[in-house]
Amino acid sequence: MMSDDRSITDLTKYGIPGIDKVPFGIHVCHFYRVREDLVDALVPYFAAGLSNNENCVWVTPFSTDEAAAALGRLQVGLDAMLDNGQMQIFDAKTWHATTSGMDENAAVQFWLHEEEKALSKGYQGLRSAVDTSFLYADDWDTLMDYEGAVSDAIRDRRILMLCSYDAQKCQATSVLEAVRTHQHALDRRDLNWEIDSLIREEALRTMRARLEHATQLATVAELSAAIAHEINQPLAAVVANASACLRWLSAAPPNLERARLTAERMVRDANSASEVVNGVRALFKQSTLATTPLNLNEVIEEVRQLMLDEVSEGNVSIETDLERDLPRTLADRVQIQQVIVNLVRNGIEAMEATTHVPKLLSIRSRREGIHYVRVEVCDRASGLQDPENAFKPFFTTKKAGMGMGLAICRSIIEAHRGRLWATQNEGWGATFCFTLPILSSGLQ
Amino acid sequence: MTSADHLVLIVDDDYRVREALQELLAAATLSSVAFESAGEYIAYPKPDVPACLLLDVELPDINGLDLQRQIGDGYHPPIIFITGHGNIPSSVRAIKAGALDFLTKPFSDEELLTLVHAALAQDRERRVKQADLDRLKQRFQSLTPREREVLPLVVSGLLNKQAAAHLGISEVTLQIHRANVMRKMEADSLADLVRMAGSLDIPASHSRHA
Repeated sequence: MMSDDRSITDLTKYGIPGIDKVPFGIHVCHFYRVREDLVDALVPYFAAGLSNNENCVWVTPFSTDEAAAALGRLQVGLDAMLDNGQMQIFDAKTWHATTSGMDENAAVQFWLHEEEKALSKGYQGLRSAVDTSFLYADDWDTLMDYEGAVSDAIRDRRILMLCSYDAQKCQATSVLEAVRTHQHALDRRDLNWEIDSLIREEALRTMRARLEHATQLATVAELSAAIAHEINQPLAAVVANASACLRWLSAAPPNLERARLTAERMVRDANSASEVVNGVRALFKQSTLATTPLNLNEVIEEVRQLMLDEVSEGNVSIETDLERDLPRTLADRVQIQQVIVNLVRNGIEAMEATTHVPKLLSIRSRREGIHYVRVEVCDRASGLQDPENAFKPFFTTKKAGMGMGLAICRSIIEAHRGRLWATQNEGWGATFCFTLPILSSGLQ
Repeated sequence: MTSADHLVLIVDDDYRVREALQELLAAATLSSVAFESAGEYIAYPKPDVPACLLLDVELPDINGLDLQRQIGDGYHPPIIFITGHGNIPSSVRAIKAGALDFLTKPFSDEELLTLVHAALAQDRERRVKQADLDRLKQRFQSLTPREREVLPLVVSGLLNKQAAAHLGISEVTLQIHRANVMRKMEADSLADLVRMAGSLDIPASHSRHA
């Protein structure tokens, strides 16, 4: 089973009034008292999901027609979404009758499978709301086991699950138990909904922890100190050169030659300060990708052609081992090119000092499971002491270099819902790998 | 450049900063030499002229503050620290350990040049004092053992008679030794000799009333 961090790097609009954005992977229990509570919460919840291009599943205590009508009042073009399956509505009674034979693992696997299907169709994720009122009366304990298992299973997935409980039918102990088996509880405060305040603190904490883990970025403080330093260096040089330039100009007679030299250095250093700024922006940019169906083998071949000069200058030979009929992926061609160029260039530069073995850079492409393609760039340099360090912004082992390349590459790959990491080779050198999701079969 | 009557030593790992500092100093008619690392600085044979050290706190091979501590015992030129992000604890540490000042990048030329001139002046003054002391030590070395015994007695203010009695010699002999001491030490007066003895840390060991 695949598991990765991409699911939690971004937030999605939750849609429920009073609640802003949430990370994927959260499992919420939702208490309602009257029918309006359900409509008021779930209609905007699904509308937000549909507008974010998520696959939505609503298991409703209403009839499917009533639910569709309520949703249709807010969501334009709902009929088409019902037809193409982006929005699916089931009535709870029928749903629970068909799933009652399932054990908790099978039920959990069902949702995970639905998410994989949704992602392969190009949706941003899976958003569901399931009414429990037909279940808990029969077998509360099994329901709680199932809910607990769901919380664990979807934590790192692009799934939002909201389970509705009829507060009138719940005893105090079962409310507590429901809250405990979910990650968060949702309850109505006046007109707005609130994630239960006791739990909210924890929700924020886990969310923060997971975001940190997912992005693998340095803490904000570390990062801002590093950025300040990187910008301050060339700025200090610009200021000192400007002062020198003024002095050369006001000397008697003016020393124009030296003044020109210092002015040229000012241009150079100011540009390098602005490169740092651009690098930082690129690192955090959430730009829309110009995605097209892409054959990574072609991109690898292009990069190889592009880099022929650099490769021969570095006395490096490149070998490629590309899987035939590699499935296509949906990606921004230029950005992925940029990532591969970066990895290849890093490999060439890292092997500058390699003398004991032939300088060989291998690029491989492979299918990874059913959902991903994987590209590996393997060098024969001295390797990496701490592979994760290489992705920290401003980390560099080179004399000239800002140390932003790999950090930017990672943010590009993660924006494509893939992963980029490095490992130390058994013999020599390091291997940089990235994965990208396969384009769904219908579009191949 | 190094034949000038002064030298500014620069240690910074960023070539852009090294270049710019050297250029600014050159425009202000100051000679400088720049190093990429603390190791290069230590290995460099420093010319015998008034100098000061512009030291980047964040060096690749050693922290600037550690370098300061390392060279702290021996003679070193006055240090002006340069840092990308000055924080109070490290500034305090540096100043306590004898740094002249702490500059935060980017700094103004006035600020830098004022400090560099002050540092060079401080080093020049220290060198003059050191040269004077060296000369005095040489003169003291030229004294005979007996003359070295006479010197502390004389600067203690003992009468010739008392000093002679203390050494068990005649007053005339003592007067000859005393004249030789004055001549060899190039002292114009007894007061001058007392000041020299002070510089050489020779204690006035006897009181005339003892």
